[in-house]
Amino acid sequence: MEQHIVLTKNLTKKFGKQTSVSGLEMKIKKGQIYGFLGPNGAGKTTTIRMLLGLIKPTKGDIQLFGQDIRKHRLQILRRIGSLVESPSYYGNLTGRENLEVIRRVRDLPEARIAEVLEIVRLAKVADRLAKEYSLGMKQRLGIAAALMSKPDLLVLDEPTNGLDPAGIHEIRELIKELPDQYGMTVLVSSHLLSEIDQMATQVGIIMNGKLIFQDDIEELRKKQKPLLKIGANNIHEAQSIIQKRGLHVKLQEGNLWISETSPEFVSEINGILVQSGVSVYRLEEVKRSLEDIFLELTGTEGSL
Amino acid sequence: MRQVLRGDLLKLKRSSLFIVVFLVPLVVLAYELLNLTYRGEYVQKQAEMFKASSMWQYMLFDNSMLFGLGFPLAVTIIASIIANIEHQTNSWKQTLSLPVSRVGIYLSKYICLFNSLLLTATIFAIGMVVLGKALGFEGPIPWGLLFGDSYVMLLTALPIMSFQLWLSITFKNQAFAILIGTVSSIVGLFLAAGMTTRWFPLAYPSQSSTIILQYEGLGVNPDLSAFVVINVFVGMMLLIIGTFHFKKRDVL
Repeated sequence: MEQHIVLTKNLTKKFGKQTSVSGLEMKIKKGQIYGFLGPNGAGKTTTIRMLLGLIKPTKGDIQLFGQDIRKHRLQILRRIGSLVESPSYYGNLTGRENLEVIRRVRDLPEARIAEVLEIVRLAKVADRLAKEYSLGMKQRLGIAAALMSKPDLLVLDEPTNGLDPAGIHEIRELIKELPDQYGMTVLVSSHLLSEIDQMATQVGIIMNGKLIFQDDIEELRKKQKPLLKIGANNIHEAQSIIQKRGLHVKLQEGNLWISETSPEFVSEINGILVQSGVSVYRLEEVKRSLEDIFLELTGTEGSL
Repeated sequence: MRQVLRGDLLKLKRSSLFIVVFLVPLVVLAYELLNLTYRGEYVQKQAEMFKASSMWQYMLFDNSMLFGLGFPLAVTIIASIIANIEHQTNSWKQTLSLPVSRVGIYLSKYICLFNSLLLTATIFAIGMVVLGKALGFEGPIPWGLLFGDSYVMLLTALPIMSFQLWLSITFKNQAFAILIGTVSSIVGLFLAAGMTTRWFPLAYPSQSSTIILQYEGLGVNPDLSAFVVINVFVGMMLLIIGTFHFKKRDVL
C-alpha cells in the first residue's frame, strides 16, 4: 500500500557551509494538491530538485511511491512529470517537436502529443518554433511536457511564473482538475499565498530551509478567523472581568483580543464591561488575511 | 538508450551542427584546390623533390597539417553545439528528470558527436577523391590511403572528443570550452614539431596523415598504429572519467 506518495525524512542539503534545506519532513498523500509555499530563496526549488534526483541530499531520506529515490530512481521518475523553474524547451524545434523529443525518450504513443497540446491549448501554435513563443506559451509547453506520460505525481515549480492573469487562471483550473480526472497527485510550489490558497488542498510552508507549517489548507484558514479587539480605559480590570467568565482573552498592544465575534457575544461583553464600570471606547472586528498569517508564520512580522 | 539517441537527433534539427560538419572538410579541400591549380607549377616541382609516387600521395601529405588543425577545431565546435542545445534554456534539468540513466544520456551525446565527426571525415575522404579525379591525377585511386587518412584522424581525435564534450557539458559558458579547444588544437601543431613532444597524445591528430615526409621522401606513416592504439585507449579512459563525473554531479 502506498500511503504516502512523497515522504521525506530529515531531508537536508548544504551547499558548502550554507544550509539550503534542513530537516525537512514532507508528506504528500495520493490525490492531494500540495501547495509548497515559501519566499524566494527559502529552499523550494532545492527540495524539488532533490525529489527529482537532480541533486543529492547531504542527509536524510526521500521516498516516492514508497520507494527510496537512491535505489529506484528510474522507476520513480517513470511515474513523475515535472516542470522545474523556468520552462525548458528547444528553441530550434517547434512546440510539437519539443513534445516529440519527450515522446521518443519516454517511448509513448504518438497520439499523446495531440492530447496534451489540446489540454494546454497550444494546438494552434504547435507548428511554430518554440523560441517564437511568448513566455506564457513556453510555460504551457513546459506543463504539456510534464503531462506527456500521464504521471502519477506531477511536480510543478512556480508554474504560473510570467503568466498573465488569464493564463494564471487557466493553469489553476487545469491543476485543480487533475486529481479528479486523472487520479494525479500534484506538488505545486509558489511564493504567492493567494495562488496556493486557490488550488491547494494541503499546504507546506518553508522558510529558511525549514518546514514551519504543514497541514490541510483548512487548518490555515481557521487561523484566519476574525478577532474582536476591545479598547477600554482600565484594560487590566477589563481583562480580569472577562477571564472570570471563562473566556480566553489576550492582552496585546494595549488592547484585548478575543476570538469570538458574533453580534450577540459582542453586545454581551460590552454590557458586562460597562456595568462593571469600565468605559469601553472601542469594539472592533479585525479580519486577518492569509497574507497576515503567512507573514506571522514566517516571522517577518511581529507575532500576535 | 536508443530512445535517448533518437530524441537527441531530433534536438539537433535546424541547429548549426551541419554547417560545421560540412564546412571544415570543404575549407581544407578548397585550400587544396587553390594550391593545386594556382600554384600548380611550384607544387609539381615540390612533388618531384619529395619523390612523391603520385599526386595523390602529395595531396595526402600536403593537406595533413591543415586538416590536423581543422579537425580538432571541428571537434571543439560540434561538442559545444551538442552541449549548448541543453544549456541554452537550461534543459538539463528536464532531460535528467526523464526516466533514463545519466550514463545513457552522456553516451548518447558522445555518439552524436562521434557520428557527426564520422560524417566530417567521410566527406573529406570523398572530397579528396572528387578533387583528385577533377584535377586529373594519374594512377589508381589509393582508396585505403585516402579513407585511412580521414578515419585514422577520427580515432586519434578521440581524447579531444572525450575532453571537449566533458568541458562543454560541465561548463555552461561555451566561450570557455571553445577557447580551450582552439588553443589546444594549435598547441597540438607545435607539439608535433618536437622530436619528443610529438609523442604527446595531443599532437597525434596533426600527425595522423597516412603519408608523411621522411628522409628518403614521401612515404607511408610508420607511427600510425601506435597513435591509434594509444589514443583510442586515452579517449576511452577520458570518456569513462567524464561519464562518471556527469553521473555524480548535482544539476542546478
